[in-house]
Amino acid sequence: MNLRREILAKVSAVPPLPEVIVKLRECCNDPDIDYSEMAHVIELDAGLTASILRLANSAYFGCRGTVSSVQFAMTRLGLRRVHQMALSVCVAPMMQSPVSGYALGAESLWQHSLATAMAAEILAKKTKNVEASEAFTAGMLHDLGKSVLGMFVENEMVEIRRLVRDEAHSFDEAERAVLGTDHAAVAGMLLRHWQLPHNIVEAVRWHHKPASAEGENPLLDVIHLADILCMDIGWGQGDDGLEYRQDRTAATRMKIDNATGELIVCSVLQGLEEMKELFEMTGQGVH
Amino acid sequence: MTVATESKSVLQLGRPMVTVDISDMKISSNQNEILATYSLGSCVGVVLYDPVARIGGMIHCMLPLSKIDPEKAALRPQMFVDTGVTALLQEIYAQGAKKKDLVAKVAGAGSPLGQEMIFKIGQRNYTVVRKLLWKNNILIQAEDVGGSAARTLFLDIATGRTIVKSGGQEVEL
Repeated sequence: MNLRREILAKVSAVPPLPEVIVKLRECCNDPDIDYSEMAHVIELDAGLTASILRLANSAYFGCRGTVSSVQFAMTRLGLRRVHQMALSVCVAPMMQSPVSGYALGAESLWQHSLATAMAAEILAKKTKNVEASEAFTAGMLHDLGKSVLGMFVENEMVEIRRLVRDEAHSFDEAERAVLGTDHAAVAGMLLRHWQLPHNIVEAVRWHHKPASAEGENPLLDVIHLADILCMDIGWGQGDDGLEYRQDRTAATRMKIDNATGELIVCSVLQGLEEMKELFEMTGQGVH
Repeated sequence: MTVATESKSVLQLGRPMVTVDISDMKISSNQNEILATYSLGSCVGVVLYDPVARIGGMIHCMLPLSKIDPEKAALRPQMFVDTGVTALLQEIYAQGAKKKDLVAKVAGAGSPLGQEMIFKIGQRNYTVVRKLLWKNNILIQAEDVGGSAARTLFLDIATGRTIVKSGGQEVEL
C-alpha cells in the first residue's frame, strides 16, 4: 500500500462523531427546532451535559454561573454555541495526546488549537461575515490532521527536514512532496468524514494556502491569520516551527494590521490558562 | 556561534531545569540550575549573565512595546520587551550582578516564511531589545535571531553557557 493510501485508510478509521453532535449540528439550521427535545437528547449523556454546563457558566462563554440546564444554555447562548462546546469537548481527548513527528508534547497541539480558536473568534468579531462560534470551531480543528499524520511524518522526518532546510520548502510543501498529502488536507478529509459544514472544512483544508481555495471564504482568512499569529507567538510549537508561508492578501482583505494582531495575542494570553483549565475539568466528556 | 558538541552533556546531566514560560522571567544564582525557555517563535528570549557574581537571568517576551496595553503591562511586565527587560535588569542588579560584568545573549524574533510579513512582531521585538540594551550600555555578545525555525534557549547558571536548540541541533551562543 502506498503512503497516501495508508494515510487515507487511517482517516477513514477515525470513528464518526457521536450522533448527538451530528444531530445538534443539523438542528442549528432548523428554525422549527424544539429546544426541549434536543436538550433531552443531550442530557442522556451525563458527562457531556456536565461539560456543556461548565463551559456555559465560564467567564469566556459569558454566563458566569447562571446556566443550570442545557435548554437554558441553548436559549441563552444559541444552538451554534452549544454545538461548538459539545464538539470541542468531544475532540479534546484526541488533541491532548502527544503527537510524534511534529514533536508535539502532551498539551502542545491542544494549546495551539485553543489559542487559534480564541484568536479566530476575536478576528471573526471584527468582520461581519463570519460567525464567532464557527471561527472558534474551525480554529480548534485546523491542525487536527497532525494527530493523524504524526507517525508518517516521524518516519520521513529526515527527508522532510532536508526539503525544508535545503530546498526552501515550507513544512506543508515538504509533507506533500514526501507523503503525497499534508496535514491541512488530512484535517479537511477528517472534517468531511465528520460531516462538518463546507465553509469550516474549506477553511481548515486551505489554512496554509488561502489562495488555492475556490471562491471567497472569509472564515478561511480568519483561520489563516489566527494560525499565523499563534504560530508567531509559539503557542504549542512543534518541530515544524514557523516553516509555513503567510499570505498577506488575507490580512489586506480583513483589514488587519500589526497593532491589531498584537492586541489579539494579548487577549489570548490572558484567557488561555482559564480555557485550558476549563477543558481539563471536562475530561469525562464523550470520547 | 559554534555547534555545541559538549553542550549536549550539559543538558543531559539531569540537572534541575527551571522553565521560563511565555511572558515570564527567572533569575538564579543556584550553580546547579539550568534556565530554559521553549517555543521561541517571534517572541524574544534574552539571557543576562554576570560571570563574576555567577548569576544569570532569562526572560521570554511576547511583544515589543507595553504602550499597546498598559494595563496588562502593569500586571505582567514580562509580556513586553520594554517593561520586561527593564524589570529583568533591575532584578538582576538587586540580586548582586554588576552592569560592567553583564553580558547579554538574544534568541528568537523569527517569523513565518514569506517576504511580505503579515505581522512584524519578531522584527519589532528584536529592534526594541537592541535599543534597550544599547541604552543601558550592555553588549549583546551573541545572538541567534530571525528566520523561521523553532528555538529553545538554555542558560547554564554555573558557566554562563547559552545554548539554542533548533531543528534537532544544538548551537552554543
